[in-house]
Amino acid sequence: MQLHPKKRIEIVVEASCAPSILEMIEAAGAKGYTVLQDVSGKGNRGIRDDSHLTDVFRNVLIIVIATEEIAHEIINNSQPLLENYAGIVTMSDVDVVRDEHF
Amino acid sequence: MVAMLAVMETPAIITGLLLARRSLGQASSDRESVFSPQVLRQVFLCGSVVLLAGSFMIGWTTGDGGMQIMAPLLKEPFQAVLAIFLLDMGLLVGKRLGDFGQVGKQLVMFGIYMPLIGAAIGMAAAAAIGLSVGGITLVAVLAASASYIVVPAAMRLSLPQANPAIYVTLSLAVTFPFNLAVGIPLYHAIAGMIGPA
Repeated sequence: MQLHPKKRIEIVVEASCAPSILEMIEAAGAKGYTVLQDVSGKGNRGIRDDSHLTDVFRNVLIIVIATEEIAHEIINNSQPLLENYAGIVTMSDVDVVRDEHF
Repeated sequence: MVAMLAVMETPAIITGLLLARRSLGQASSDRESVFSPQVLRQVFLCGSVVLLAGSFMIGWTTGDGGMQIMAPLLKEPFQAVLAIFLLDMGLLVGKRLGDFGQVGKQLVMFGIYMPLIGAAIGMAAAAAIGLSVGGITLVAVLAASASYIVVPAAMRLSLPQANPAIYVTLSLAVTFPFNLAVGIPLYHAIAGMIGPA
């Protein structure tokens, strides 16, 4: 089966900022995304894990698979949105089966 | 009076934002983001506020009959559920005990004397307009309280520079337990002294 190279972007971001990130991802032309809820961890802002009472420390993991140009646009647009918010943005190479879906 | 609970968060948010804007030295051109659609949605349509306002309306329209139907769930187990809720809060606070390091002694003191100042102002106003002892107590409690449900989420959107480890810890782990353990009995006692006979 023929595989096609794409870029995978993973964004760990706090839940408050996630809606604006998702909006930006769609505006950049990505065909879709996946969101994993309630991820927790530790970074230079200290420990961030879900406390069900207050939503402020909740985090999500957003996975986007897109072409290289769209991926770079997403990366560039993510930086100003993440100012003052907790977030990690990484990009890697993946191969997909359905070229037209991503 | 109960309706005050539902609306008291909004003036607090606006006041907090205005104070922050002033000390950040930002011009009034930034006033847009105070009332941005996202913040408004967060304040008025977040789960807790919808539940609160909705329950209030249901109670108002169904009256005593409705209360009788709901009593086995809402009235009988109230104290027990409250106790479990508070234990759960204790777990939560325990998990985030490390945050106290970021808060520091001075801010912890602020988390204790600010409610006292708020309660004093609230009681004076309530007594001045002639509320009952219960009414004065309730206004004092409201004026002394710090939000940990709606306000932190709204603040995260409109004032992201503020460190949530500080403000959530202060309201949840300092002011809230203080008001429960010391505040309410204190305000009630003083209300009994200054209220109508």
